[in-house]
Amino acid sequence: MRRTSNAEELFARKLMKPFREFTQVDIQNELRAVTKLCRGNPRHLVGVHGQGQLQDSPYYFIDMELCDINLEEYIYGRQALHDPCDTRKIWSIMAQISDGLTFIHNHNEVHRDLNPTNSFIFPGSFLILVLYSSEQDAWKIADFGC
Amino acid sequence: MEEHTPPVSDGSPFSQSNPTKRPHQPEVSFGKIESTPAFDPAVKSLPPLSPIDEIDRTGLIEANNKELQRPSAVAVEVRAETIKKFDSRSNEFEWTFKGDPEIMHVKKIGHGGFGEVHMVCFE
Repeated sequence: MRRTSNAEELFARKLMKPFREFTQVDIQNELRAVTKLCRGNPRHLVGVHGQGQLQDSPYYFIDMELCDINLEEYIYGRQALHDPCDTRKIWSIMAQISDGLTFIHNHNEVHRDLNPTNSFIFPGSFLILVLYSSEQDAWKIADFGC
Repeated sequence: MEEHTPPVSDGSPFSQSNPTKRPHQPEVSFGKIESTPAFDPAVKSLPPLSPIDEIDRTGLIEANNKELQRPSAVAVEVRAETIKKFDSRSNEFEWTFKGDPEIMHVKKIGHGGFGEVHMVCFE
C-alpha cells in the first residue's frame, strides 16, 4: 500500500527490520494492526498514509503524519517557559489519549508501548509551545501497532 | 576598722542585694541601662550582621540568575539529549531512500528499539 496524501508534504517514515525478538511475523502483525486501526482515520491515533515492504528486501516501512512535539517535550517545554499546563488542559490531554487507547482496545488490539514519547500533539510544530496552546489541539497516539 | 563593701547587684530579681524583693515583683529603673563587662565578649564574638536590604538584594539577584538560566538550560538539554541519542547510532536505514526516486530524505527524527523514523517528503 502506498501513500495517498499530497505531494511535497512532509511525513514521517518508520523503517523496521526483523531483529531477534522482533521477528518478521511481529512486523507483519504490526502492519496488520495499523491497517485495521487506521481505517476511518480515527481522531486520536496518528494518521497512516501508507505501509508495505521495501522492494527486494526484508525491510518494512510505515508512512505516518509528521508530528514534531511529543508529550515529553511538551511538558518540559512548558516548564521551561514557566507556563505549566493548568488542570483543564491536563484533563483535556488525558481525555484525548484515553480516547485513543479506548479506540485501540475496542478493536481488540493492545498498545504495548504507551509512553509520553509516543503521544504527539497535532498540528505538530515546535512553535506551538511558544505561540499558542488551544483547546482544539489534538493529541494522538503513535506506535500503536507494536 | 573593717571597710564595709556593699554586695554587687547583677540586676536579677533573685539577687541577694535585695532580699526583701519578691521574685514576681517588677523592677523599676529610671536610670540608664549599661551592659556589664561579662556580656560584652559574647556580643563582640558574633559576626557583624549585614543590613537586611543587602541580604534581600543579594538573594534576589541569585534567585533571578537561577530563574534566567533555567528555561534555556532545560530546553537546550532536552534537544541536546535527543540529538545526541540519535547521532550516537548510525543511520541504519538511510540507504533505503537512495534507491527510491519518489522519496526525498530530510532527516532522521527518531530511533526505536526495532527501527528508525525519518522525516521524508515526496519529490
